[in-house]
Amino acid sequence: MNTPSSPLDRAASIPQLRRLLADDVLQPDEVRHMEKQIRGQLPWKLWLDRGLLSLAVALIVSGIGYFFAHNWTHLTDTDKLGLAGGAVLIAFLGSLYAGADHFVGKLLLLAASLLVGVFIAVFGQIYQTGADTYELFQAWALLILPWVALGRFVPLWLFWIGLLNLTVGFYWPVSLNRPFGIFGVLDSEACFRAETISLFVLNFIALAIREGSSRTVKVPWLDRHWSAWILLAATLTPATCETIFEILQTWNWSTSANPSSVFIHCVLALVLYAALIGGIFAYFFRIHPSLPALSMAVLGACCVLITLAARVFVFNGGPDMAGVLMLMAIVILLIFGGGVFLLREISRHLPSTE
Amino acid sequence: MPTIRQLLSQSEIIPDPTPERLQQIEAALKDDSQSDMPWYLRLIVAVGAWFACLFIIGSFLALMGFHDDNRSGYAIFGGILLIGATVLANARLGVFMEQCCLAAGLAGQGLLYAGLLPDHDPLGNATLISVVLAAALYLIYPDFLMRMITSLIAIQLTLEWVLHWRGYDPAASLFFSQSAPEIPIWIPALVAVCYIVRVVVMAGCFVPVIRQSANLAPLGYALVLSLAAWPLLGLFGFAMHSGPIFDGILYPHHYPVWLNYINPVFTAVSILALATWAAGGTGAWKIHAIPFAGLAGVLAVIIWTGASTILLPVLLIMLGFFTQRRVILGFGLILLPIFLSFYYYNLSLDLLAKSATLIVSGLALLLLRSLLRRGEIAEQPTL
Repeated sequence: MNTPSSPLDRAASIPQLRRLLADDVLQPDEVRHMEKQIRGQLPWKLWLDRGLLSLAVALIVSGIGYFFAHNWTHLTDTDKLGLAGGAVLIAFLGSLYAGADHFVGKLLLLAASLLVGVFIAVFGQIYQTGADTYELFQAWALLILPWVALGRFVPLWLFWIGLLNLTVGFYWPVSLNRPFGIFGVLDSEACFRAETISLFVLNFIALAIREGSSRTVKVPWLDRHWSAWILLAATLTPATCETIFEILQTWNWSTSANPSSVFIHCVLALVLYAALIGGIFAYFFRIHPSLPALSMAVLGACCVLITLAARVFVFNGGPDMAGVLMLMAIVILLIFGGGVFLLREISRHLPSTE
Repeated sequence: MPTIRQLLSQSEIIPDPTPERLQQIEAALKDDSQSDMPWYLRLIVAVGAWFACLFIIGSFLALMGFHDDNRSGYAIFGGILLIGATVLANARLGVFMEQCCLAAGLAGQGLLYAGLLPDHDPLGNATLISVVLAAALYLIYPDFLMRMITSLIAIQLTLEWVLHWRGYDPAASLFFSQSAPEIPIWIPALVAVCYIVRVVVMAGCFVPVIRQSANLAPLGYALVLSLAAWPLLGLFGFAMHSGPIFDGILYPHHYPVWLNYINPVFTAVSILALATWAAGGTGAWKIHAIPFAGLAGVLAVIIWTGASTILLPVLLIMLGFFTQRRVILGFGLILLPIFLSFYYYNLSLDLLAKSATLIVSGLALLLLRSLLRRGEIAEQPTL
């Protein structure tokens, strides 16, 4: 995006004019006149038109929902399935009619994908399949996969990734009761570990696909900056949580059943997390320059470092709370200050930022 | 949107701005432009500053010890924090120090309250402290958030004090029952006056073109939050009750009905006044007579049907839109579906009747929209 060189050539706003008035740069009469001109060009008719339409659609859809809620107990199972399935079909046909290349068509495809979930929920309610929650999300993701592949719509693709995340997230707690799960019987700590690691791997793969597609194969519909940030956040969050978890596990490591295992897990997590942050820095500094992505990595690293510092300084039953709190404050200042300093230095050398 | 250069060149008041004048404005715009730090960096700085500050304060409190006998110590320490934060904030040492001062200033105020409030009936003292702090900090502390937060605290405490005046307990009316105690007649009058004053002052912070507009903005935002606070609390507290609910107080049904319409009518009048101002003054009534009459009619229907809780979000949406305050606009857009949902949820109708009401309401809005599209050609630029 080209930024105008002079602030005088950027779009004016009323709050900006008020600040200039407060600085005595403009006079009240001048500001009044300029504001009148700005207000005259505000698209209030468009906002009113779209607002009335959105509100009307929401009210009518809610009314239809209330109608079905009133009659739900009087409907037969066939009617219920027919209605749910019919909604999916109507949305899908509407998408085909509008055209998959048009925004309205893509929105209708997204709506159809959402309604598939409603259909599965109704199906599960009627037939009491006894399926676990993760199986419902798994089925949902599988059923809409063709639409995701052919729809070429980033929000739909991210929604599908979200479904996979939910599938994985709901799988591991259930696996506690499954002696023949992938990794055998898991205790709660191993379950948490498995969840965070699998979520990290899943979202990392999605991020890699996104970055690889937009860079090498040049898939234009995937090339949306914000999708990279969302996937990076989804990758960093479980990795950060897992690393913090391993650090916190060492709090009572001397009294745990397997102290060496606890220590090894912590060191391994820290090493791998450092490698991840280093990789993110290398990629988003050299290959795909992005200050927001680097900022996310710095924030995650700061959280881990602070947890590590707290673990090191706050011993079990530490006697001197005042001293510890002061020390933690200094450490936080150093860590966050260092992170911001690093980002500011990087921003000066970034080829181009988003 | 026009640029400042275009507005200046089109201005009848400054027909030919001199290069010196343009340079002066450009320099002011460069100073005024927000810190060269992007918002996500400012967020990281703020998180670090707040955590560090709170740990430092916690360290000093741990040194002092958490005893009831130390309350005077809390007050002194709080005062020192507040004075230090104010001095450093005025030195404008950067974003990090700005956030540290904000955290320290708020913590200092909290310690002042903890140290100075009596155990018995603390509301009056808290109100006095909050008003003094808000007034003092507004004048000497040059930070938007600090001014807004202290103003909001002062406004809410003052409202609570007013409502508890002469021993009246609003909680008794909040959970209304058949045998609810009598509510004195001056309570609704006070509530109405408080509401009217807040709306007028809020509009006064954003609408008139005065030199203090930018400095009054934090107070305006505090009033926006204050106006929404009681209705929101009222909605969540009164989910099972029907009837006109405004400003969190549900008046007994045996009271005069007009009591419940003071606030809605005033809000509707405010909306009309705002629309008039945005259209360029009362002269617009002659040019756009039908739209204004239609607006008045719609507002009257909303009040008559008892859906007056949506008037406040509509007022905020209009205020935010015509003053280009995106936060207020966004806040109003969030509140509107919430208040509307609660209105329909609380209707004393069965599901089928509610369904019909919703569908008819939706169709009425579609009809209104089609009438507007016929009456005016919507040739606005896309958003």
